[in-house]
Amino acid sequence: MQRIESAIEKAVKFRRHGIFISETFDLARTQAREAIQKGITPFPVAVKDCFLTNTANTTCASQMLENYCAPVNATIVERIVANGGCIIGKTNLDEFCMGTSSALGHFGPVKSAVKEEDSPDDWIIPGGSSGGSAVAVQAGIVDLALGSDTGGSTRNPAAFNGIYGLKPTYGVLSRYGLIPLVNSLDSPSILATSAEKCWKYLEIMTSKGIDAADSTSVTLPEESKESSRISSLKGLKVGIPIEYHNECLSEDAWRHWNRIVGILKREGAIVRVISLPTTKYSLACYSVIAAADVASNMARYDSVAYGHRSEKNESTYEMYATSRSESLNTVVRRRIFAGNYFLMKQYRKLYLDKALKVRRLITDEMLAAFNEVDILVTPTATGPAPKYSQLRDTLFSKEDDDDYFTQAANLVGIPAISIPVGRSDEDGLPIGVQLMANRLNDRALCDVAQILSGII
Amino acid sequence: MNRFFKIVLTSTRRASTNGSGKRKTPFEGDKVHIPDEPYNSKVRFFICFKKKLKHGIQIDESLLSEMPPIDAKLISHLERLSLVRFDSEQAVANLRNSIRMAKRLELVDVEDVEPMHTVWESQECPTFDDVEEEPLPIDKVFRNAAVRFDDFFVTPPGNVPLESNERFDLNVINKWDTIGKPVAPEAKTIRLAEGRRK
Repeated sequence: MQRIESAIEKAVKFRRHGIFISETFDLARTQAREAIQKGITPFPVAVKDCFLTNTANTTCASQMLENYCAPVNATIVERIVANGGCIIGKTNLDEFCMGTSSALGHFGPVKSAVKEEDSPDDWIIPGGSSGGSAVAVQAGIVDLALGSDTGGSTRNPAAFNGIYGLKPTYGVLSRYGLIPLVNSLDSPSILATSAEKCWKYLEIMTSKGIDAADSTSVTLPEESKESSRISSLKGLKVGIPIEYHNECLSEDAWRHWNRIVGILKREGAIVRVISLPTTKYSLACYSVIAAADVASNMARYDSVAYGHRSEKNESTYEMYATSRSESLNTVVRRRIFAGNYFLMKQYRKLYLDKALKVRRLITDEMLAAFNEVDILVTPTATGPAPKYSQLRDTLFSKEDDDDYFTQAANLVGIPAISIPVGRSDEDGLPIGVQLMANRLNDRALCDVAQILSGII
Repeated sequence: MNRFFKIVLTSTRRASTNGSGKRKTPFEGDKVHIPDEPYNSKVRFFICFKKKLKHGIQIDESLLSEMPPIDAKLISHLERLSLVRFDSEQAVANLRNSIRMAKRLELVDVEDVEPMHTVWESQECPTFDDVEEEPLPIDKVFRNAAVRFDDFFVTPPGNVPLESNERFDLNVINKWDTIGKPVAPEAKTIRLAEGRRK
């Protein structure tokens, strides 16, 4: 109970960082009492505001869903609460999870808490889209924050805040109750303060097996949990894909990546430099597939049964279009237009079908690499977190530069984790390294991350 | 050429601040364990760089099909499909940039490759048993609707096509790279949601 009260206290103290969209302190207290009655130790949890909860509103940081309250809880929310999780609040994000800055949502930006802020008009970007969840963990408010990861939305903010972000194998965590962005890429994900904790929470949320409510959910096989355990880095086969030292990578990020590879070698790992040549088309492939799914997923917001409804009432289409134009931000609208373009009769073959074929090439290439190596080690982002002013001055183009490193894991469906490895030279901001493993090797991935974290 | 020049300039400027685009040096005492020369992932930059140095061109930009000009018909068609309106020339130019990014895919050979729609392709899709579920109580069904009439959702009159006026300067849109004046979106003020429904 004390842990829950101190979490609430901290949440209030950090209000100016825009971490939460809804605070659910009373709910957390009730959940804590219920846990204690069942003999379970309660722990504070933050839930990204794209997971449905039936007590607090679920807004996706959009005016469209400002007043939306769902009739159900997401499966993983149910499971974490049943095991002692107490929801402190729903966390801020990029509107409908689109972005890696958590800056442009309807309820204001999330501001990083890794350093003292110097000005109220500028701040260190927390990454995104699970920016609020990452800062909630970094600031010590909660032990676990739920995020979602479609192209890097958990690993990117984990790296920027110096914490751990695990995107499990696609399907391992149920998507039931996660507002969809790109259905075949979306992975509910975990933000915590160690790789061991990431695994512990993953185990809690998968202990009841697959979720019948999500037809794409898969079991993490029991035998793979134990048989794939790794107790030493000796003999571990590590792959370094050359394409991940691209022209956007900073000196800071490269040096830490290089240092980690040196440590792996010292510990007896067998390091091989490999090539994944289709990587350079990966971002284009991802952007087409994502836009097409966004266009159809966003079509449900018609403002009739729920959602922001405009005063304009002349005709149905007019009401739809005006409500949507008023309440969806420029980033969301941009992806809807692009998606509908790629889905047009005359362009579908040219773009969407093409992208889906390139996705197979990327997948085959990466899965083939896992015949040769156990783990891929890459940077998580181009460098440390930028400032808001830097993003604004480059029209947010840096967001794409960072996506380059993370979205391939979503296209392929493999597990990936970002671990904190050091600080940038000039500003002392956190730098992360990403580890990726073959599908369903989530346990081995967390083991390697844990061992590595213990020696750096 | 102008655009290429600009891109080269941008990456030079970047290189001077954080070392990106340059050969890297390890921390003192560390050896070089990973490639220290950057690999060029940006197709466009790669081409112009190669052309400039008169090296063998590995990817020829002329292989990319030409960017189709954006006309009023396409704008209005997309607005009707999307049920969203473009709010400025910049918004339409952004669409152009998204298309340009997608065009890179033209350079990948995908002959005999099957599209990949999902991760677990051989997984059997389970179906629900045909059992009636407990329906939502009527008040829960309607609690998020802005307008309700008895037990009906309400919409304005239908069968009226969405009006979509010509209101943009197409020249600005199609020459956005040279004459456009992009404006960055601004962050809003931090606040909590009111959460009036409990």
